[in-house]
Amino acid sequence: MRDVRRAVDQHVESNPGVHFNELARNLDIATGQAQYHLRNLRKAGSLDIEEVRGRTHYFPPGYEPWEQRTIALLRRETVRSIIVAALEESEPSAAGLAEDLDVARSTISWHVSTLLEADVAEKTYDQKGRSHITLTRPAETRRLLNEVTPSLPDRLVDRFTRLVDDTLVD
Amino acid sequence: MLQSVSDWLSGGEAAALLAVLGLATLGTATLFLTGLAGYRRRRSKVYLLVVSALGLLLARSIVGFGTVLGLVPMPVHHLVEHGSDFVVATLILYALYSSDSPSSVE
Repeated sequence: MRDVRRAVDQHVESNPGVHFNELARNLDIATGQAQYHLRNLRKAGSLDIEEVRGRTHYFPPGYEPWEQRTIALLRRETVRSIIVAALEESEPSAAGLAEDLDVARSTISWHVSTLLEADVAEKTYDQKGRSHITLTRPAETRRLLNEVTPSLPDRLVDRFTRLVDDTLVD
Repeated sequence: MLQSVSDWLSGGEAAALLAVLGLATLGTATLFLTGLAGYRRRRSKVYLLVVSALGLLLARSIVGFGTVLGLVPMPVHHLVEHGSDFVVATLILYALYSSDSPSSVE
């Protein structure tokens, strides 16, 4: 019992922003067991929780709410790529993002509204009425980006799609 | 299990063949699953063609194991392996043919 609790604590410590399903899956423990230990650890003050768009993320102590929301979003692939795009070019347009990331406009607007809600980005309009995205705290966002990385399978698939896009789709 | 292989291979060769088949299956399965995940994200024709080709590569390894285990006779084995070479080549050539040229974007 103590071992499982320690394992849960260490997993959150080394994976800040891990969400519930991922934690239970990575540690291979039952849902009830994960809930029990997370609740106890939270009562003991060893972890923080932050809920972002219907998913509960767990953090070791020491992250402020804005950092917690940003990390949670950096763990989601599409929204992460929007953040990366906004770090690479200043004020990308929603239309440009949809084209660059090859996702539907509706997908972009869903993720952008998540970013606005979390205060990670702001929306501005140009003279032609097109919407653009600006990060609220770019330097800190970049620091957090390096702290949280997607898993190896995720990156493999990303690179495969880039390879096919570059050579075949264009 | 190796009775069928012993007809046409020595013990050492059979062991080497099994090792190579194991590696080939591992590699092609990883590649196929990566491609499948890519296709599920993009859902485009080009991705479907590429992932089909990768699926055939994996199928070749499985047919290889089938032959080693005595489930796939040698003539069928050769027919499937070389037939799949032709299909893989066709799929990739068609993917190249049907992809947009850079100038045609927008």
